[in-house]
Formats: sequence, structure tokens, C-alpha cells
Amino acid sequence: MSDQDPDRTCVSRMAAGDTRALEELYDRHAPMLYGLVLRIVGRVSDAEEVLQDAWLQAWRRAETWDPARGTVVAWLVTLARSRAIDRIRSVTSRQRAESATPAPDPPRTADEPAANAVQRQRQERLSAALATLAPRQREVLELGYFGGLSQTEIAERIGAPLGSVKSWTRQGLMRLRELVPEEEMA
Amino acid sequence: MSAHRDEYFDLCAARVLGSLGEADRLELERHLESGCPDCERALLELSQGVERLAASAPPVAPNPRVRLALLEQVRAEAAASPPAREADAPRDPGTRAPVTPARVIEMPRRAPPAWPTWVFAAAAALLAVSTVALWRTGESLRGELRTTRERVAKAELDLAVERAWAAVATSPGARVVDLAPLQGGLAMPHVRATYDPSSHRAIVAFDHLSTPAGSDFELWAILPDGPKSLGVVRGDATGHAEVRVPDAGDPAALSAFAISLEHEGGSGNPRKPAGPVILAGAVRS
Repeated sequence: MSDQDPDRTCVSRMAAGDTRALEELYDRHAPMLYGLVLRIVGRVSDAEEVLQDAWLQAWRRAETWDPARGTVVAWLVTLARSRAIDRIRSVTSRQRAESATPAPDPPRTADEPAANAVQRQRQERLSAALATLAPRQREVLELGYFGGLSQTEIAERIGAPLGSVKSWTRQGLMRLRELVPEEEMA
Repeated sequence: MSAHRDEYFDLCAARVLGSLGEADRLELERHLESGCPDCERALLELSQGVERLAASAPPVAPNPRVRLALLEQVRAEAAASPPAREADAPRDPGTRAPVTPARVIEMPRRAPPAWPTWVFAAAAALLAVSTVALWRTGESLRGELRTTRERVAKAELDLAVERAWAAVATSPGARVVDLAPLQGGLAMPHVRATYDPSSHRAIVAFDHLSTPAGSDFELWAILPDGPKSLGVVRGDATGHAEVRVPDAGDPAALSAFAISLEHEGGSGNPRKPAGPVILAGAVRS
């Protein structure tokens, strides 16, 4: 990934206590992370809290990031998704039902920075790739990743055998990887 | 090392997606602990699929107040825990700058002690030796503590895995299948399979397992699309063997367990026995 080195440098600087490095990393990746969190929790107020908490964890744990275990972006995505899933699991069933509705577009003002154009192009490409998956493959990936459901819960939700859910998960992920080569993720 | 099975690829996919159940997570961790290059490669490739899934959510610029609040909190934390050397220095309460003493008062020199120099040298040497000994003892204790913690963590993991397997037999819906001989002429092993429909796990126990020379017994799950090999079975010196099957299949699909007699090493085809099927038992609800 072409932006790997600046990200790594930022995390090293964060580990040394450089708050400017956190600002740089935030400006580069916050729109992508916020989009992910908003997709999971559904509510703007919850999503903002989760986003802030995820970045705070990134700041506090910068020295524990291990390049051997994945990219900086993958690490940030894991932190953000994990907190977002914790949030939806902690809400009441009533709130959960509300958050299951499609996320509303948050209001934007002219002063807000627009999401990075490259990220948006990439997202459109990925969204199109996701749409080409078999419906069951797409469904199990979305319920597992954005819905935070376990495979057993997914099987119960869609009324399919657990073994099929497992197969669809693997096939869907591999297909996504094939459809969008690594060069297009740069 | 626990032998690799294709089912582990499915567990790898669920793990990177974050939807793996607890029992499966423990099972996979134990398998990965022993090092499996196939699964490690699969984890990497499947992670790339998850990266694409995450990035498929439309990017949205967060409200600037999130950035402001974050930086305010981070700066407050950074200010509360400055580097140790600076923290130790006395500070001016107003400017927070390190304080420099305004003047130094010279004290009258004391008369030198009457002890000979060698006493101090010997004491210093003794102190140095003691310090090194203490440091080594500390290092050794730290190492032992680390090893003990690792052993405890491994024992806890093993215990959790064993509990998950024990649950197969105690599950209210567990189905017990005694496999019956389909032909005579051979000293047949006694085979009992216990299958838990909720976890899809199965434990197959063998007794009086005496394999003819140059042959092997192979265990099969019978599914709607045909047999599926669950591996070659070899007994211990007492003729006992136990096979743990992490995923024997969905209860709607699994109809029976069967044993075939194969040439040494097994049938060579995971979807079809090459030798005769000698034992079978239907899985009934």
C-alpha cells in the first residue's frame, strides 16, 4: 500500500507522544473509519463517541502496534469495528431495532472537509464488487461484519444450515479479494 | 501438530470476519499454535477480503467537534504524564518551567573520615556483587513468572477446549450411534459415535481396533452429496482410539457414520472410499 510508510511513521511518532502525528493519521483515515462505524451503529451520536474512543485507544496503544500483524489501516479498522460492535451489543433491544435501520446521512456543513476523493472512488468500486457476490454470500458477510452476529446467530437469522453459513463466508471473502486486486486498494 | 482439515479454512474466515464462536475460536487457536502454513496463508488472504468489506462502507467526514474533543483529551493526557526526567524536576507552578536555584550556600567542609580507603573499596565491591546477584535473581524470577503464566494460559486454553468437547456428550440433543458390521470375516472394532447437533462436533470412540497388516480403517460422514472422509483411524496398544471431529456436518445433512477398510494410508480420495465399507450407523434425531 503506497500510504503505508507515512502511516507507520505516524504510529511510531504517536508512540513517542507526538500529538501532531495523531492529527495527521486522523485526517487521512477518519472519514473511512467514521463511515464504517456509522454503518455499524447507525446513530450519529453513538458513531461520534465510538470514533473518538477508537482514536483514543489508537493513541494509547500506539506502541503495541505490530507491523508483522497487518497494516496500520487494518489495525485502526479492527479498533473501530470492535468498539462499534461493543456499542450495538450494549444497547437495549429497542435501541438495537432502531439502529438496524439504514444509517441516515449526517448533516454536513460547508466547513466540513469532504471525504477523500480517492477513498470515495475506492468505496464505489468495492460497493459494486460486493453487489456482484451471490446474495447469500453478501448477506452473511454483512450480518457478520457490520451486524456483529456470530455464525450461529447468522444461521438462525437467515434460516440456513451453519455449515452453509461457514462456506458462504469463506467463499464471499475470497471472491471480494479476487474482484478488487491489491493495486486498487492502494 | 493437530492435522490440518479443510474445515479450518472456514474457521479462519469466521475469525477474520469477527463472527467466530467461542468454542471454534479455541479450537482454531490450538490448531494455529502448533503452526499451520496453510491456515496462516488463508488468514492473510481472507483478511484482505475483510479489508475490502470494511472499505465498502461509504466514507463520511465526521463532525470537526470529534477531532477537537479527541485532541483536547489526548493533550490533557500527554500533559498529565510528561517524560520521567522532566516530571521529577521541580517546576514553577505558574509557568510549569523547571526551577533553577537562585543561589548556592557554601557549607563548611567536613573533616575526612578516619576509615582507611580499602574499607570503602571493599564495601563498594561487596555492594556491586550483591547488586549483580540480586539482579540475576530478579531476572530469574521474572523468567519463571513468565513461564508459569504461559503454562497457566495454555492450561486454561486446554481446559476450555476439553470442556467444549465434553459438552458433546452432555448436550441434551446428543445423538449416539453404534456402528454395526455390514459384513463378516473380520475382527470388527466396536465403534460408537456421539454427535452434538448444536455444535456439529462429534466424538467417535473405537475399541478392539485391530488393523490387518497393510491396511487402515477410514472414518466417513455420509452427507447428501456423498461420503466425506474424516480421516484414517489407528488404535493404541490397547486397541483404543478416539477421533474428535470439529464439524461433522449439519444435522439436516448428516445421515450416517461409516468405516471402510483401506490400503495403508487411506483411500486417497476424501469423497470416496476405495475399499469395502465394513461398519455403518445411521444418525437419527
